[in-house]
Amino acid sequence: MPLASWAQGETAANERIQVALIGLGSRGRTHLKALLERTDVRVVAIADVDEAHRRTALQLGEAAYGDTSGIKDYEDFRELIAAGGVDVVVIAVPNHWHALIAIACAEAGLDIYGETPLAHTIVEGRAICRAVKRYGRVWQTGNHLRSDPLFQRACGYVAGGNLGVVGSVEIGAYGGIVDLTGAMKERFTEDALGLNYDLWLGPAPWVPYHPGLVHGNWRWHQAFGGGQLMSWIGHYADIALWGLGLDQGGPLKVEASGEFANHLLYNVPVKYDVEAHFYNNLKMQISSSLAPGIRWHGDNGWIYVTEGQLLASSPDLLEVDDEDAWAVRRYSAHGHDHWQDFFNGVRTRLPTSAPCESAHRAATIGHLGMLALNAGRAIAWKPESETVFEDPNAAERLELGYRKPWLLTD
Amino acid sequence: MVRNYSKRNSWVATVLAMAAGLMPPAWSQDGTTVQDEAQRARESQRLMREIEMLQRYQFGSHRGYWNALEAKLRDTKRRSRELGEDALVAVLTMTGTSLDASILACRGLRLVGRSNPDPDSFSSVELLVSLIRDPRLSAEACMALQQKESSKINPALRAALPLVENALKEDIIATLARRRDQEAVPVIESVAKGIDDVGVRFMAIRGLGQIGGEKAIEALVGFRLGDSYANAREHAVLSAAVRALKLSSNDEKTGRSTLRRLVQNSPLKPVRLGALYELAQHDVDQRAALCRQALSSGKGDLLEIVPQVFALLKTEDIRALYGSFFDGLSVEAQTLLVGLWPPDDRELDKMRALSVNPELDPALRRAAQRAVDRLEN
Repeated sequence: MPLASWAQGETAANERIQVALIGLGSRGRTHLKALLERTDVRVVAIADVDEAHRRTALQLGEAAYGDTSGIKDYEDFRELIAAGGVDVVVIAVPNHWHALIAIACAEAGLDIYGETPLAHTIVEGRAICRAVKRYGRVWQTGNHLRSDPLFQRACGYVAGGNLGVVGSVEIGAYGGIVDLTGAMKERFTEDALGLNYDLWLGPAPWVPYHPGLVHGNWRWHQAFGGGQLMSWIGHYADIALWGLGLDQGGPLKVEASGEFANHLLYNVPVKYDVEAHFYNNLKMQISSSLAPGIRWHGDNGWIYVTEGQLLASSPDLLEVDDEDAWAVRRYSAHGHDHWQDFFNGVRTRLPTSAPCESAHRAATIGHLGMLALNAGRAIAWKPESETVFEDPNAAERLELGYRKPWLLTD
Repeated sequence: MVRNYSKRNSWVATVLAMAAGLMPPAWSQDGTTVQDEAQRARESQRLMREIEMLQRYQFGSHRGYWNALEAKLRDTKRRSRELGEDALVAVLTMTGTSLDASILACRGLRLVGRSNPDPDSFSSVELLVSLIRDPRLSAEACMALQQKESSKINPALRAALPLVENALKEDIIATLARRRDQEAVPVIESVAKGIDDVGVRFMAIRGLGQIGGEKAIEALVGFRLGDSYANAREHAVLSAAVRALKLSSNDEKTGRSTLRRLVQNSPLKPVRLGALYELAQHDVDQRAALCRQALSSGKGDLLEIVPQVFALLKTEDIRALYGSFFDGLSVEAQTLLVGLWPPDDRELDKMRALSVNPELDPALRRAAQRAVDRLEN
C-alpha cells in the first residue's frame, strides 16, 4: 500500500485498506463486525481452520456488503498470505499460534493488528518484535484500553506526578476457569466436525481432540494459553506500565504463588498472586483476588481505574494544572478509536498507540509469573538481555518445542 | 530395558533394580534395623504402584498421578524435583509403558533433568538421545532436547539425520536449528539435496537460516531446488546473514556483503527492507547513509523501513535530514519525515512554512501542521 494521507469522510474505493482476518472465533467475529461497518477499509479475505467459523464470517460479509461481497475464504492462513491482494491482517487466534502467523505476515510485508497477549512465550514475543522491526511493519496490539479516555486520563495523572513517587501498583485480574463454549463436560471424540484439528494444533504438542480444548476454552491448557493471568496481562499490566513510563523495560525479580487446576483437561493456574519487582523498589502485584483494574499507590495517595470507573483517594488527584496538562494530552494524542489509530499508522507509517514492544514487555511479566508458578521458585530476570539469571532449568521454560513442520525463526 | 542406575543413590534406582531382579527385596546387608527395612520396603512398593499407574496412562483418562508428578517437578525442594525426574526415567525405561505415558514423560524431562550437576554424566539426556531414532517418540525426544546443555546431543542428532526416515528428519533438523549447530550445516545441506521431500527441504532451508553463518549462506545460495522454494530461501538467506554478523569475523564479513547484495538485488521487497534495517542496526557508522538511501529510493521502494532506521539515528544525523537534503525528496518521503520529526523547535519555522504553503501536497501540509501542534502542545 503506497504512503497516503488519511482522507476525511468517505474514502474512494481504490484508497480503502484491504483487510484480511485470520481467526474467526468469538473475538475474530467481533473484529469482523466492526470492520465491516467502516468505509475506509474493505474486508477481502478470511482464514480459519473451522469450516463453521468461515461460513458464519462469510454470511456476515454478505449481509454487510451485499451479494458482491467477494470475500475469499481459506482454511490455511498460508494460502491467504500467498494469494496476495491484502494490505493488513487482523490476527485473533489462540496464543500458541500468535508468533508463527505474525512473523509470516511480517515477512510477507503485511501490517498487523494482533491480539493480546503478544505471544505464548517470551522468546516468541521477542521474535515477533524483531520481525516487525526488521520488515518495517506497522503493529497495533488489540489492547483497546489504550484508546479508552478513562485509562488515558489515569495514566496522564500518574505520569504527570499527581501521586508523587509511585511505590507500588496493584493489578486485579480474574481467576478460575470459565466454560466459554459449554463443551467442557463433553467426551473425548475423534470427530472434530469440520475443524482441521491438526492445523488448529499447529506447533503445539499433540493432545487428543476434545471439544472442551478448542474455541475459547483453549485458554485453560498451558499448551495453548495461560489462563486468566495471560488473558488479562496484556491489558491491565500494559496500562500499569504505560502510566509509569516503564512499557519499554522489565522487572528484576518475579515471585508467584497459586493453585493449579486439577482437572481432566486443564492445567493453568486458577488462583495466583504474582509480585514483580522493578528498579527503584517499585513493586507490581497481579492477583486473582483483587478487584479487576489497576491501582497505583504513591506518596500522595492512590488512583484506581477499571472499565467505566476512575477513582482516587482524594479528588484533587484527578485534576491537573496547566503545567502538567501535557501529560494527560500525551496519553490521548492517538485519539479514542483504536481501529482508526491503527489505520492512520498504516497510511502514515507512524507508530500506533499500542506498539509491539510495549505488548511484549507487558506479556513478559505474565510469562515470568507463569514461570515462577511452574518452576516453584522466584525468577531473577535481566530485562536488557531478556535472560533468566543463574537458573538454567527455569531458562529452559522460556520457549517451547514445536511440532513439525513448524519452526520458530528468530 | 534398564540402564545402569547403580551410581544414582535414589529410591527409584533401587526399585528399578528390584524390578529387574538385580537386587534381593531386603536390605539386610547394610545392617539396618528391621523397622527401617520394613519402612523402605513399604516406600518402594508405594513407589512401584505410582510408577505402574503412571505407566498405564492414556490421554483422556484421569490425570491424578500425572498431576501429582507434575507438582513434584514444580516443588521448590530440589530433592522433590530429582524424585520427579527419577519417576519420569522409570516410566520411560520400564516395560509395559503406554505410548501416551511415554509422551508425557518426554515432555516432563524437557523441564527437569538438571538435578545432576554434571550434564555430561549419566542423566536423562542420555535416555532422550537414545529415543531420537524411535519413530514413536523421536519428535518428543527432539523437543525435549532442544534447550538442554550437553555435548552429547548435537553429535547424536547429526549422526541420526541421514539414517532415519523422512518424517523424523524434520524434527531432527528443527532441533539442530534451534540449537544453532554450525557443524550440522553440511549434513543438513546434503540431506536436503539428496531427498525429494517437500517437508524436509522446507525445514532444511528454514533451519539453515536459523543456524546462520557463512557456511549456511553458501549452502542456501547454492540450493537450486525450484521456484516453489525460492521465497523461503530468500528469507533464510536474510536470517543466515543476520546471524552471521554475530559470529566470527569471516562470518561477519560474509553477512555484511550478503545483506548489501540483498538490499540491491533481492526480488522480494520485504527482504530488501529487512536487509537494509539489519545493516543499519549492525553498522553504526552507516546508519545515516542508509536512512538517506531509504528516503531517496526510487518510487519509495524502501520508504517503509525509514521509521525503524530513523529511530536508530543520532540527534545530529536526524537534524541533517531536515536541511537541504529534505528539499530534494519526493512528496511521500517528505511527508514521512515530517511525521517523524521529533519535537524540536530548531526546524519550527520550516514546519510552519510547510503547513501553510498552498503549492504543497495537502498530505504534506497536514503532516507539517500536526508536527507544529505536537511541539506547541
